[in-house]
Order: sequence, then structure tokens, then C-alpha cells
Amino acid sequence: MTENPEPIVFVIDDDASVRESLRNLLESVGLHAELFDSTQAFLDFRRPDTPSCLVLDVRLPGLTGLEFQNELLKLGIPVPIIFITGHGDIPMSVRAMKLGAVEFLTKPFRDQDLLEAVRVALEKDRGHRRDQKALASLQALFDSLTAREKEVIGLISAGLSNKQIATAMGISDATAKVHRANVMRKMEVRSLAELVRMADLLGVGEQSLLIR
Amino acid sequence: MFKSLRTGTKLLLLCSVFVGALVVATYSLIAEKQIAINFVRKELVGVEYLEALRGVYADILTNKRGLPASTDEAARTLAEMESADFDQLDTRALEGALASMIDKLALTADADQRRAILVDALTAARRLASRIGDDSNLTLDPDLDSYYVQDIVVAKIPTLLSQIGELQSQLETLSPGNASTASLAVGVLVLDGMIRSTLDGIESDLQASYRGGSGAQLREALDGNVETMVSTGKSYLSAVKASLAGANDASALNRSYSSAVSSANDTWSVSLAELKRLLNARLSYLLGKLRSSLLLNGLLVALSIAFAVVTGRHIVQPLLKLERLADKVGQTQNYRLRTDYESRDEIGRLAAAFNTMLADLAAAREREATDAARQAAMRTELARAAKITTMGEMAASIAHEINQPLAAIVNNANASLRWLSQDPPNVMRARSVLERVVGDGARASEVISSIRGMLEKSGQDRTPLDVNDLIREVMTFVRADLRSHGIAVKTELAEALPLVSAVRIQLQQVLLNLIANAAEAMVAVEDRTRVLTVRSQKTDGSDILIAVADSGTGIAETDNERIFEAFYSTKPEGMGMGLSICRSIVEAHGGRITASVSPCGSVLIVSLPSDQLRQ
Repeated sequence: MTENPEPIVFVIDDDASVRESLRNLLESVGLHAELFDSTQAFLDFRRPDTPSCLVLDVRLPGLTGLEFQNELLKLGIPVPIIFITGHGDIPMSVRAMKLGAVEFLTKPFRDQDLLEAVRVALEKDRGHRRDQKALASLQALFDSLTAREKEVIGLISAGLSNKQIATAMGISDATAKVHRANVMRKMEVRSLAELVRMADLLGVGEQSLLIR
Repeated sequence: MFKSLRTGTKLLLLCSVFVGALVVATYSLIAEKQIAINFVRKELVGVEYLEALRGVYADILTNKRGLPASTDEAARTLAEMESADFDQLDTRALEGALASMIDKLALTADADQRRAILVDALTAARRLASRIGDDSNLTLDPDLDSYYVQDIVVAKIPTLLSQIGELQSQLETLSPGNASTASLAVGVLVLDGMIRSTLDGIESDLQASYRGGSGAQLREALDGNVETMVSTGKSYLSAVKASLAGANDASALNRSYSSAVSSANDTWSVSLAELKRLLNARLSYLLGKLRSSLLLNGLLVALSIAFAVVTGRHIVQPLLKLERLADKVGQTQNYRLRTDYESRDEIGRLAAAFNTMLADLAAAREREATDAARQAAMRTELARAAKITTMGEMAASIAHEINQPLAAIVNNANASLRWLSQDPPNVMRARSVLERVVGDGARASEVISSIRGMLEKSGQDRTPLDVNDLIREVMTFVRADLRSHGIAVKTELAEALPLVSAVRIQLQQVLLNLIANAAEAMVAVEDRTRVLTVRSQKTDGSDILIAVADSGTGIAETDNERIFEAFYSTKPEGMGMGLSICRSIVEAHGGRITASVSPCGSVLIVSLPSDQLRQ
């Protein structure tokens, strides 16, 4: 995984000249564009793991742009979408925005609007990707804990003291202390508050409560 | 057949049947009357004949002494009689016998022989008279007066004269002191009785004839004569008796003889005249009756014809007038016309009914016109609504068509600005992008002008153009794009094509549309080569064909006609406008566009009339 991968802007539009003009515009600000004349072509494309966004024409042969947005959500492809359309109306744009579209632009649009939308979308994807990455490393730390230690994390994040934990687990106070120290070490945290936040991110607290 | 005859003809037929019946009746009337008239005429001939015979008698009796002259006279009269138109009477033989006897009488000198011949001649004359009476219908006379007069004329007087003549000749035989006086006396006595009976017969006939129609006139004419005749006859008989007794002399006897003969002759003559008068009266009566009958019948015929004509005029003329009016109404659709015929008969009522019907029709027509106007207004309204709907669709479609190149232009222009504002400016990229701008701008303007051309639908911008040039031009636009889709392009252009008069941009649009459709149809083709063929060709009938063939999926049989309809599309997201617009354009150029399916793909053929005639 490269440290600073080049973002990609995907464009789906059935009109070749519009497609090409978008590529020209994006390349003029140094963005790499991948063009598709249909949604299927986009799905068939092996997308690299890099920050990306999708510029999507509402009116397409086959599925409409809005239907394709739904499809992507179902498939779990969390790419931020910027809609472009020849004749958009308000209900259509509201629906698109509710489903998480970044922007809804009516052709012909101002280049700044599109580029700003692309920037926002890429930033959003970047952030998303960053969060995803952090969560993944946290999960890896969490996975290195023993079953007892995972149980202890849940109890700690629930706000129980050592003594209470020992009582709850049916162990001695000393053993509870050792577990706690091990957890702090393995999870690479120094304070209790930090541990509780991680447990929150991982959803451990709820999990353990549910177990209980 | 009678039904289909015209009313005038029917009337004519009726009239002619009636006239025919009248003519037949008249003819039979004439024929019947003619019989009676001919009957009378024949009787008249008989009378004439008797008149002639009377002369012969007179000659025989008065000149008994046999002067050749008198017998010649008699013979001449007979010959005249023969030559006259008495042919209708069968008397020739008797006439001949009489004539020969008269000749003999003239030639014979011996007195005794002459007497015998004289008696024979008198008998022959009497027979002739009787034959004349029979053959001339006189004996069949139908009237009382003329019947008895004819009996006197035909039978009685000739008999009387013969008897008197015979008696006289017997007396002459007696006179020179003949031995057989006794037998002669018997003969004289017999003749005397016969003469008396004849005279009686004449008198009784006369009396009978007076009972007829013109009795008074007859009495006036005949009474005296007959009386004289009877008295002279009787005095002659007395003279005969006296002569036989020897008391009288021969001259007295002869005197009384000749007076008796002349008196009988006179009576005969007068009777004949009277008979002639009676017959003539009958003839003129018959002729008058015939004339009046003819006049009456002629009057009837004339009346019936006149009546038929008047009836025809009163039936046929108004009917014709009505017919003409109906025709006129039918032709001019003018329901305000009326007939002015007025009468209380059936035709008058028909005319009134016709007028009422016309009035009803006029009212209905007016209602209909109002309804039609309302319907027309409704249709216009609907058409406008439909047009607005279609126009809305068109507008959306046009907006999209123009928006696409516009969006591309704006994007490209922005991109090139950015390339230029870089440090250092990337002129190369900017230029290539600007070229795109030019292309897109041209495309937008083409769309607009083609739309305008379509909306104007005018042939003003038409120019003569070579279809092959047009195809080559369009192919240069699309060749690269088609290649990139893996489509092989073939052109088969016929040489030396006549020009067509067309709006270049519109035909380009059609061709581009057909090529785009063809390319689209071949996207799914994987198992065979994708080939697009554009052909140009000239038909026998000076039409130019442009065929665009593909090796694609083809057109379903059911879609074959409908693909040219507006808003009909076989593509899931197609607007259904492309081929419909193509058809509009081609048809505006006076051409046709057809689709056919071949085993491998479909062929769309545009046929355009060539400009050949104008070159």
C-alpha cells in the first residue's frame, strides 16, 4: 500500500464528447480520469485501491444514474458520487443527496463547481479510507488479545473498577490488575480514557454488554 | 316492364289504345254502312237498267210492225246497256237472247213468224227485267214504299206490257178471219183475266207502298198515272171485247192499245223515277248518317287525345318539375329551394310534402353544420393539445441534444484555459482541447440548423448534391469511431449517379442516424465479423437508393413498420425519435425509407427521387 497513491476520477457518460471534455478538464488540474460509456463497463473495471470518486450522468442507457447509486450501495462500493445531468429537477437531486451524493450538477456547469465537488468527494473518500485503515489496525490489536483480555476490555469500557471486574469475572483483584495491564500494553495505550475510546470505535463495550 | 315506362308513355299508350278502339269501331261502322250504301247503289244501277229496258219495251211494243229502225234502236240500247257498268248484274245471257230476238224480228218479214218472235222477245224482256230486279237487290229492298214500287217496276209493269203485247199480237192473228177463232178467244180471255189481275196487283202494290215513309209524295206522283194506266188498260180490254164481237174497228183497238201501252210506259217511267228518288233519298240518308258517325267518332278521338294531352300536362309536367327540383337540390345542396306547384290533387299534395321535406332537410342540414363546426373546433383543440404534448417532448429532446455539445464545449474551454494558465502554459494540450471545442461547437450548430430545417420543412435550402459525396463525408466522421468498436466499414458506391435535390445537413443526419443504429445493432455480435456496408445505387426509375446494411441482430418482424413511428423504440432507453425524424426528413424530400431483414442483420434503404429531370 503506497503512502500517497494518485487519486482517480471515474466518469460514466454515454456521450463521448462530454466524456472526453471531462477528462480534459480533470487532466488540466492534474487529476487522472477513467472514462466509461456504461455502468457495466465501470463495474467490470478493476479499480485500484486509491482515493476515487464517480462523476455519473443521470441519463444513461440501461440503468439511470440514481438506480446505479442504489446498486452501488447494495454492492458495498462506497465511492462518493457527483451527479451531472442535462435536465435535473429538485426531487431528483434531493433523492440523490439523501443517498449520499456529494453534488448534483446541471449541464453545462461551471468548472469550479465540478472541480470543487471532485475535491470534496476525493477528500471524503480519503477520510473514509483513513478511518477504514485506522479501524483495521485497531482491530488487528484487538484480535491479538486473549478471550479473557477481550472480556476485560468490555468491562473496563463499561466503567467498572478492578474490584468490580474481579467480582464479575470471579477472579482475584490481583489477576484482574494483571489482565488490565496486559490489555493496556497490547492495545498500545497509555491512559484508560484512550482505551475506552478504542473500545468504542471497535464497538467492544456494546458487544460485551450484549454478551452479558 | 309496364312499371318502368314513363308516365307520359303510359298515358300515350292508354290514349292510343282508346283511339285504336274508336278507329276499329268506326271502321266496322263504315263497313256496315258501306254494305247498305252499296246495296242502294246496286239498286240504283238496277233502276237505270230498267229505264233502259223500258225503252226497249217501248220500241218493241210501239213499233211492232217491224220497222228496222226501231229494232235497231232497241238493239243499240241493249248494246249500250251491255257496255255500261251493269256488269255487276248477271244479265249478259238474257240480254244476248233478247238482242238476237230483236235482230230476228228485224230480219223476219213473215207476219206470223214475227208475232211468234215478238211474244218470245217480250217474254225474254220480262225475264231480263225480273233478272235485273233479282241481281240489283231491288227485289230484296228493305223499305216498305220502295219495295212495293220496285215490285211494280220490276215485275208488274213488264208483265202487264208483255201481256198487253201478247194480247194485241193474238188479236192481229185473229183479224184476217182466221179459222181457229174459238181457241183464240179462249187465249184472249185468259190474257184478259191475267191483265186484270196484273192491274189489280199494281193497284194493291201501290196501296201497300203508300203505307211506307214517303207515302204522300208517292201518292201525289203515282196516283194519277196508275189510275190512268188502269183505266186505259181496262178500256183497251173493252176495246178488245168489242173488237172480238166485231163491233169495233181495228183503228179504235189500235188507238186504245197504244194509249194503254204509252200510259203503262209512262207509269213505269214515273215509278222508276220515284223509285230512283226513294233510293237516292235512302242513299243520301245513309251517307249523311255515315258522315255524322264519322264526325262524331273523329270528335271523340280528338277529344280523347286532347284529354290525354291535358292529363299528361297536369301529371307529367308537375312531376318533371319536381324531379328537376330534386335534382337541383341534390346538385347544389341548396335546401332553400321550393316548388311553386299548387293543386288539390295528389300531385299537389306531393309537391306540398316535398316542400315540407325540403324545409326539414334544411333544418337538419343547419343542425348538422353547427354540430360539424363544434366537432371541428373540438378536433382543433385536441390537435393543439396533442401538438403541445409532442412539442414538449420535442423540446426536452432538443434541449438534451444541444446541452450535450454545450457541456462538452464549456468543459473543454475551461480545460484549455487551465492548460494555458499553467506555468509554463501547456499550449499543446490547450490547442488539442480547443480543437475539440470547435468540433463540439459545429455539432451543436448542426443540431440547431437541422432542427430548424425540420421545423421549417421547406425545400428552400435544397441544393443539388451527389449522394456519393455525402456518404464519403459522413463516413469520414464516423469511420474512426466505428473502427474503435471493432466494426469493419465497407462502401459500395455506384458511379455517375444523378444528383438529388436535398438539404445536405438533413441527409447527413439521416445517414448518421442510420449508421449509429447499425453500429448499435452490432454491439452484441461476438460470433461473426461486425460489418457495416453503405451502398449507393440507381434504380430503373431514376430513384437513388442509399442502403445501410449491418451484420447485427436484425429487426423483429413485428417491429418492421413501427420502428419509423415516433416514440417507438426497441432500445430500453431509446426516445423513439431517431428513425421517425429520419422518415420525416426523407419524406419531405419526396423519398421513402424502408427496412428489411437479411439473414445476417438488417438493411435500411433510403430512396430519393433524382434531380435528373431538371438537368
